[in-house]
Amino acid sequence: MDTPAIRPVVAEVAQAPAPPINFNRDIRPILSDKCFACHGPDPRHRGADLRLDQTEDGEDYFGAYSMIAPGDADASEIIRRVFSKKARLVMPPHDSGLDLSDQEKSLLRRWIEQGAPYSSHWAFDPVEAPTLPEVRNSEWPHNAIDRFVLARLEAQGMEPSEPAARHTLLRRLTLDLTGLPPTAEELDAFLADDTDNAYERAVDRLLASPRFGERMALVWLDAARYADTNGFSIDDHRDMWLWRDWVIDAFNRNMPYDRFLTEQLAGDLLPDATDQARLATGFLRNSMNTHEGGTIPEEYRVIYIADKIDTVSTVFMGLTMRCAQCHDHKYDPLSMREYYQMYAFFDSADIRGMGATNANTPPIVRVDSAITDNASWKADMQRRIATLSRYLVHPPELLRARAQWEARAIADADGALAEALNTAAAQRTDAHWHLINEAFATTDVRWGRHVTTIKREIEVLEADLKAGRPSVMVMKEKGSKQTYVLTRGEYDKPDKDQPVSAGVPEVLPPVTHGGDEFGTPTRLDLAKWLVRPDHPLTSRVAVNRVWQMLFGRGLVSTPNDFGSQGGYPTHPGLLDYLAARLIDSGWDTKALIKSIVMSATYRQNASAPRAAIEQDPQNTLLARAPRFRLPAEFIRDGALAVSGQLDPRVGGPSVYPSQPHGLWREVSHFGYGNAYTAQAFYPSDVSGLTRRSMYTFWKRTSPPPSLAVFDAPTREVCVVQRSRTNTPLQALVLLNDPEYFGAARELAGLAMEAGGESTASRIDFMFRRATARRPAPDERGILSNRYNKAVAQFAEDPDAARAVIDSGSAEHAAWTVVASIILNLDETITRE
Amino acid sequence: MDPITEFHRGMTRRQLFNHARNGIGAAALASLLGPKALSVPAHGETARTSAGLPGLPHFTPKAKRAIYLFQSGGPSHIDLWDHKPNLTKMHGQPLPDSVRGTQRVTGMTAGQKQFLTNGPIKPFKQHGDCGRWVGSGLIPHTAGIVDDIALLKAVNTEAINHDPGITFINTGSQQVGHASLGAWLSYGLGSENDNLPAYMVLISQGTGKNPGQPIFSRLWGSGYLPSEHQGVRLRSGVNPVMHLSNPGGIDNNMRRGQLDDLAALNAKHAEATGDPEIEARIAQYEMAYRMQTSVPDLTDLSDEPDSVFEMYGPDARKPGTYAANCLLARRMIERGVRFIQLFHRGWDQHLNLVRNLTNQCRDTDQASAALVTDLKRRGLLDETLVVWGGEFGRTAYSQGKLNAGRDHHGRCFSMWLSGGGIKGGVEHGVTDDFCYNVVEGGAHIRDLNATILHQMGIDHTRLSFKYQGLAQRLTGVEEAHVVKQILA
Repeated sequence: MDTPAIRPVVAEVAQAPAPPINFNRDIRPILSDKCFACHGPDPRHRGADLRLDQTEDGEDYFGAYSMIAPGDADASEIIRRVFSKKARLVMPPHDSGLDLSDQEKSLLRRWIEQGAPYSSHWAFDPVEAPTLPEVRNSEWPHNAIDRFVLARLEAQGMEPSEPAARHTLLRRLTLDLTGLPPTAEELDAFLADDTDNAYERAVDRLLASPRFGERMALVWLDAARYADTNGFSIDDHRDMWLWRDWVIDAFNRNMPYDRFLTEQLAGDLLPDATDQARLATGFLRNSMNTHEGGTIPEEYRVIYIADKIDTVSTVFMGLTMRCAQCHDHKYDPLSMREYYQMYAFFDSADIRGMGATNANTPPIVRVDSAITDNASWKADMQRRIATLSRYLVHPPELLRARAQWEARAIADADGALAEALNTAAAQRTDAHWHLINEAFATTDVRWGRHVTTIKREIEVLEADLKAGRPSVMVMKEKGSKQTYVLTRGEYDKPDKDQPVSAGVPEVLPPVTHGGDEFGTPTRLDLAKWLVRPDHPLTSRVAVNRVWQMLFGRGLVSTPNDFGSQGGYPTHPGLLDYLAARLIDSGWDTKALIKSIVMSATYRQNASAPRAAIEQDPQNTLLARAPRFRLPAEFIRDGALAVSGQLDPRVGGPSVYPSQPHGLWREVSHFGYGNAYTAQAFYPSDVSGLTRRSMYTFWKRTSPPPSLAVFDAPTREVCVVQRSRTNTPLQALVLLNDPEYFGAARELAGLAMEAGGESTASRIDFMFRRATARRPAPDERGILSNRYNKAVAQFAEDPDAARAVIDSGSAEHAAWTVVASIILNLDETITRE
Repeated sequence: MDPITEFHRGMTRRQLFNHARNGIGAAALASLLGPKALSVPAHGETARTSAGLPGLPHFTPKAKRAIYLFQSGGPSHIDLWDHKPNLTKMHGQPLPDSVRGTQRVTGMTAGQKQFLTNGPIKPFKQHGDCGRWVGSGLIPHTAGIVDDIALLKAVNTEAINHDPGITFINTGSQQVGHASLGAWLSYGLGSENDNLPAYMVLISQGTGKNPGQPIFSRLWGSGYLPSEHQGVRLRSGVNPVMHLSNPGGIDNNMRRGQLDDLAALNAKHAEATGDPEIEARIAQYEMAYRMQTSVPDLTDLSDEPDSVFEMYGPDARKPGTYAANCLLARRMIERGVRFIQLFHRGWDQHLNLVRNLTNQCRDTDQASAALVTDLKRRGLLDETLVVWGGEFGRTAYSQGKLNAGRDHHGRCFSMWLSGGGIKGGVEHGVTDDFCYNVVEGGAHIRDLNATILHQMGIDHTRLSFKYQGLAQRLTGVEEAHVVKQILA
C-alpha cells in the first residue's frame, strides 16, 4: 500500500546521481503488485512458467532466456515487454488493470542496469540487530532509536524538531500510556519538578499505573476481536470479560510477550496449566459463533477455525494467510496446503461454531477474575439483576409511551386502576404500578416483549450466580483428528488425497516439537515456534504494533501485512533493532515502551510549519512528533475524567452506559417468543454509566454507537489498524450526546466549585483540565465573551437554564455552554 | 527526473489520495494537488464526504443515485414473480429428486421425509403492456408498474442461511469484514450535496414475521474502507440522525455562537500547529450544523399533499414504517443523497405461509410501486436506480405441511430493478418448471452488484481498495458480469 520515503522536493531535484536501487524497497513492491498474480508463488495460475518472486527459479529461467539480463536492460525480455506498445505483447496485459506507470517502468530498467540484484523478502529474513548508524549531530540523540531516525533525516537534509513543551509532553505521555489526560495535580507536580530525571520518573509512574494495562488491552481487544455477544445472526450475550481482565492484568504485571502469546494460544496445554492460563485461551474463543436455525454445523466449525487462523496469522505474524484458504497465496510463499497445516493445529480442539443459546459454549471454565474478587462479581451481578427487576416495572423505552397512555386512560378508569392512576407517581406502591402496567400492557404489544426479554436476562444472570463463579470459553483438545485440504476452502469438500498434519509454512523456521502422543505438533508447539528467537515475524510485528500505538503509524504502515504486498519499513534498521532488543530483554514490553518514549524522537514538538507538513504529510521521516485524533474510547474517557466523573474501577462484567433508545431492538430478534439475551438495550444503573469505555458491553451487530462514530470497529473480525476519520457525526456526538453534554455540565460545576471566583480563572481551570495548558489571552477572551453572553441569555430565559441544569442556575448553564466548547476543541480530542 | 525520486513522489501522491480519506485536511490537499485534484471546492468546505475518488465515475453514469429496497428474510419468488403453471398442477406431489438433486438444503428441512411441491398461494395474472405474469393477488400495486421494471428471474447465491446470505449480497462476501455496497458507492463516488451524508439507511419491520431475522450494522458497514463511508441511519423520532438535536436549553442562536467560537479557537490552533486536519474538522462542524436544518427539513412530511399519502398508502403517515421510509427515500433523492437503502424485515415465511406472506406483501406492495411511479412523475426515475429484492428466495416445496411455509432457496430467485438506465417491461433469466434451478440467464448476486455499480458509472473491476495485500472489490475475485440484457 505504501512505502518508502518522501524526499524534500527541492533537494531531490538537485540530487544526482540517483541513489542505488534497493530491491526490497523499490522493486519488489512493483513486481508483487503488478506481476506476482501470474508470475508469483501460486503455481496454478502461473503464466509462461515464469516466477518473479524467488531468486532461484528466476535465475535459472533468466539464464536460459535472457528474461532478465543483468546489467543489460535492452537485452532483457522483461524490459521489452514492459515497454512494448503492442497490445498482445505488453506486460502486464492491459486488461489486467495493472498498467505500470512510467516511473515504475523506469525503475525496472534501472534495476536491471544496476545488475538486477535480488534479495529475499525482508520480513522473512532473520532479525539481526544492526549497528547504529553514524550521525553528524551527536547532541540530539537521546538513545539508539534517535540514531536511526536522525540518520534518515540527515540523509534528506532535514532536522528534527525542538522538544515539545513540557505540559504537552506530559499530556502526550499520559494519554499514550494510560489513555487518559493528566490531572491538574500531575501537571503541577511535573512542571514543578526541575530535576534531570523528572520525565523518566513520570514515565515510570505511568508504566506502573493500573491504567497502563487498560490502555494496552484496548489495542489487544481490537486485535483479538473481543466482544460481549456471539456475533452471527441472533447475536446474543456471551461472557468473555474474564479473558479481558486477564489481558489487563497481564499487561500490568508486564507479563513477557512470549508468555502472553503462549498462554493465549495454548495455556490449556502447558504442563502446569493454571486456571488463569486456561482462561487465557479465551483469546481463541473470541471468534464469532452462530445458532441460526438451519445452520449446517460443519460449515460454521470451519468458519470458526478459519477466523482463528486469520487472527493468529495477522496479530502475531502480520501474514494474510486467509488468502490461502481457497488457493495458494498470490503474493507470498504460502501454499494452500500450508494453510491447512495451520488449520490442523485447531482442528483437533473440542470446539464448534454452532454455539449455545444465551450462554457460553463449552468448553468453559468457571474461575474468578484476575483483577476483581468473587464477592465483587456477585455484587455486580446482584446489582444488575436489581436494575433489570426495576425495569420489569419501568421499562426505560416505554416510560414515555406509558405516561402518554396514563394521561388518556385516567378519564375512563375506574375502581382500583383509577385510584392507582390518581396517585402521584412518586407515591405509587408496587401494587399501583402493577395495576397500571397490566392495563397499559393490553394496549401496547411492546410491554409484554420487554417483560419477557428482561426476565430472560435475569434468568441467565441468576443461573451464573448459582454456579458460583463467572464463566469464560476456553480451548480444550478433543483428540487426534485427520485434517484434509478443503477444496476451494469449502467445508464439505475435504480432499481425501491431501491429508495434512499440523505444520508451519516452509518459508519460516521449522516447528520443533514435543508433540502429542502421536508425535503431531500441538498448539503449544505452535506457540513455542512463534516465540523462537529466530522467528523473523513475531518480534517485528509486536514492535511495530507498539510503535503504531505511540506514533499513530507503524514503521511498517501495514500492520496486518508484512508480506510482499505490505509496506516497506520506513526505518528498517530501527525495526530490527527494536525487535532484537525485545527478544534480548526477555520480551519485556514495558522496557520496549520505555525506550521509545524516552527517545528524543518521541519527545519532539508536533507542530510544524505548514510547508514542512505538506512535504511529509504522513510524517514518515519523523521530523516532528505526530499529531492525531484520539481513539474513540480515549475521547469519552477523557470527557469523563476531565469532568470528574470517571469511575476508576478496573475489570469486572461489562456495563451498559446510555445510548439512544431502540438501536438494538430495531435490528435484533427482540420479541421472539422464546426470548434471547442482548436483543434490547437496558442501561446500567449509575454504577455502570461512567466506567472506562473499554468496559462498555459490545454487541457486535450494533456496537456502541458513539464509539463507532469515532472509528471503533465492530469487533467481528481481527482489526490491527483503525481508520481515523473526521466527520459531521462526530461533531454531533461531542456537541449533543447527553453523555458529552452531561460532562460539560459536570465540568462547569467543578469550575464553579474549585476554579476560583473570576471568569478568567474558571476558564483556565476547565481549559487546562482538557488540554493541559492555560488558554492564551485571545482564547480566554473568546470564551469569556461567550460566558457573558450566555449568562445574560439564561438569566432572561430561566426555562432554558433549567433545561440545561436542574437548579436553573443561569451561571451554571452558561458555564456548561463554555465547557461544551472546550470539550469540543480539536486540541481536546487530539494527542499532540 | 530521477526515476526513484519520481516513483516515490508518485507513491506519495497516491498515498495522499488514500490519506485524503483517512486523515489529512482537504485544504492542504487542495493546495498540494491543485483544487481540481480532489473536486474540493476552493473554500475547503465539505471536506472529504463530498469528494469521490479521482477518475470516478469511470464512464458516464446512467444513474446518479440509487435506492435499494432490501427485503430482508428472503421473499418468495414462487408466489410473487416466477410464474410456473406446472407448480400449481403438481401441488401436493413430491418434488422430483431429479429437480432437487444433491444440492444442500438448510438444517430446517434437510431431515424432512418428503418434499411436497407447493404451488403459489394465489393465482398469477398477466399485467402491463409487457404481459408480465405476477402474483398480483399478493402484490397488486407492483403488478401495475411492470412496464417500468426489469425482472431478474434467475438470481442466485451459494448461501442458504440468513446471516451468510444477507452478508453476501450486501457486502459481496459471506465472510464477515468486507465493505457494503453503499460504502463502496460513498467511497467511490462521494456525496452530491453538502448537507446530508452520501449513504443513508432506513429500517422497518413488517407484519409477516415479527420479529424478522436480525440484521447487522455490517450490512451497511464500511468494512476495511474508512469508516466515514458506513451508512448513516435515519430513524424516526426527534433525533432522526443520532444526536442531531441540540441539548435542551441550547437554542440555535446559542449553538451558532458556540460553533463560531469553536471555529475561531480551532483556527488559531491550526495556525499554531500547522495541522490542516484541524481545518477539515472546522468544516465538519459546519456540515453538522447544516444537517441540523437539512435533516428535519427532510423528515418533516407536512409539506407533502394528501395525494402523496394516498399514493404511498396510509402507513406513509406512520413514522418508521416501510411506506414512510419509501417516501423519505424519494425526498432524499430530491436532495441529492447518493445511495439510500431500506432494510425491511420479516420476509421469512417458514410458518403460516398464507397469512404471513399476505401481510408482508400488504406492508410493502403499495409503497414500493408508489416510489417508482412518484419518481417517474417527477422526472427523477431516469437518473435514479431502484432495486428490489432480498438475500434469497424460497423453496418450491413446503416446509412441513402443504402451504405451511417455505424454506430458504438460493439457487434461483427473483429481483427487480427500475429506472437509472434499466429497460422497463423486460425479464431475464429462466428457471426450471419448479422454480428450483437456473435454466438460462442466471445472474449471480455478484453480477447483480456489478450491474448496480455499472449503472452508477463504475466498472466493478476497477473500484478496489488494497487491504491484506489484495485489491479488494465488491464483486470479489471471481468473475462477475454486468447483466446487459436489462439495460436500456
